[in-house]
Amino acid sequence: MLEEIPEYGMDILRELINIGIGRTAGTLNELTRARIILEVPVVEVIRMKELGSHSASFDGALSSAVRINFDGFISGSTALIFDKAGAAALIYAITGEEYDKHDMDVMMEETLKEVGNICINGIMGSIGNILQERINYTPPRYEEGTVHSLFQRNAIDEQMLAVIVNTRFLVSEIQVNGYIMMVLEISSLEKILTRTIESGG
Amino acid sequence: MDMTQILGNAIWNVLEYLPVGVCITDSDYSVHFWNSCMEQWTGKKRDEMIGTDLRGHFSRINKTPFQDRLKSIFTGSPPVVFSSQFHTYIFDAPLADGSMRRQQTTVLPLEHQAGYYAMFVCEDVTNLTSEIQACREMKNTALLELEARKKAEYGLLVANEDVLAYIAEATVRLKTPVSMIEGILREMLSEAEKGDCNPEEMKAIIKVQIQVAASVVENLRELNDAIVTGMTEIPAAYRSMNQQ
Repeated sequence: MLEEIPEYGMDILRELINIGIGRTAGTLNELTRARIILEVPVVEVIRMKELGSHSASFDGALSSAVRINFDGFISGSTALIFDKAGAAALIYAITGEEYDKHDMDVMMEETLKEVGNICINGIMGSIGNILQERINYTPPRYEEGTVHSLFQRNAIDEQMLAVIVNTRFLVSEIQVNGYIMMVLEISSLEKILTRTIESGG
Repeated sequence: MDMTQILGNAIWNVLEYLPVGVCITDSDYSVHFWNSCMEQWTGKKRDEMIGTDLRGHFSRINKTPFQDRLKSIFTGSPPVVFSSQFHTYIFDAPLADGSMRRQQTTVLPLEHQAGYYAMFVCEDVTNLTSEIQACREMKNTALLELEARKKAEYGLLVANEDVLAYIAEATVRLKTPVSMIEGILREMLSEAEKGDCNPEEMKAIIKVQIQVAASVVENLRELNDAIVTGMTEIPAAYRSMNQQ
């Protein structure tokens, strides 16, 4: 955990994320026939240079990610990330198809893109509501690679921060662990925290 | 405001002729842009669409899962994706056989002076979906065949092991009577050379050895059959030998 962020700052962040995750679970349950429970046991903030040693890097294994980049009042990138087997298991569980432990095909990638879109929009929506400022977003993209390479493509500075949200999806008696990762500059995180405090959050 | 003013002529032209369906509405779902691809897919002409409520033409947009997520677009939230696996389609776009085109739709906020428009970008994934489903079926069939083949190969392996065990056993079994015949014939030759052989006794011994030799020949025939025909069952001779 970063020393620069006081405990009340982390509380604000957790609150914003929990609001977003609550919305996400509601939308996913409406959308699918499966009952989906979302749990957020841990929210952390680390520097990007520490990502390699964090469990969110899946020890350098290939991962499946859905990502949205943003710029404007705040800039950065938010992604929902799973290891490849976890992504496939989640999609099979949500769609009710038989899980055959095989790779993601294009249809599954599109499905994961919608699930990721809902998760990211839940969190970015809750942040956007607080900021009430102009932020431009790219459409969600599905990507595969190591977590490190996914963010390296964006030329993200190692000094940037990563807000890591360990997210547990419970669907049809299976549990899939993933991460929602928001990478942004310190100044962007400060703006979020300041505005939340100002708005009485 | 005229969409050409907002988009500019060049972008308007690009959107008009893109090979994907593009529709732009305001927050009341009043249609401001409807491209030629949308016309072709849905059979609804631009003149029929512009200025009318999109929800009046395509009732699916009125449903809760769409409405809740679309609302955020008009406040400038991140784009929204509707996959074909969850929604199949949003815009009724029938194919020649009467079925609907499967669609993947991305809705993007498009900023203007008074707020945001929603730009629907709709891709036809019907053929892609069919191909992936065919590919999945082929993969499943191939996997089932592979499993059946593995089972057959295992069965063959077990059977071959039985036959090999029989061959090994038969070789040992055949060696004994052949050695016995050889020994007895040598003894008879030695006695004949000494001149002290009894013809009746020799005849009796030869009869017995003919029977032993016939049994050896029968065993060799079965062994030969087992090898030539790739027999997967234990030959009868081996079975009887085992029983003995």
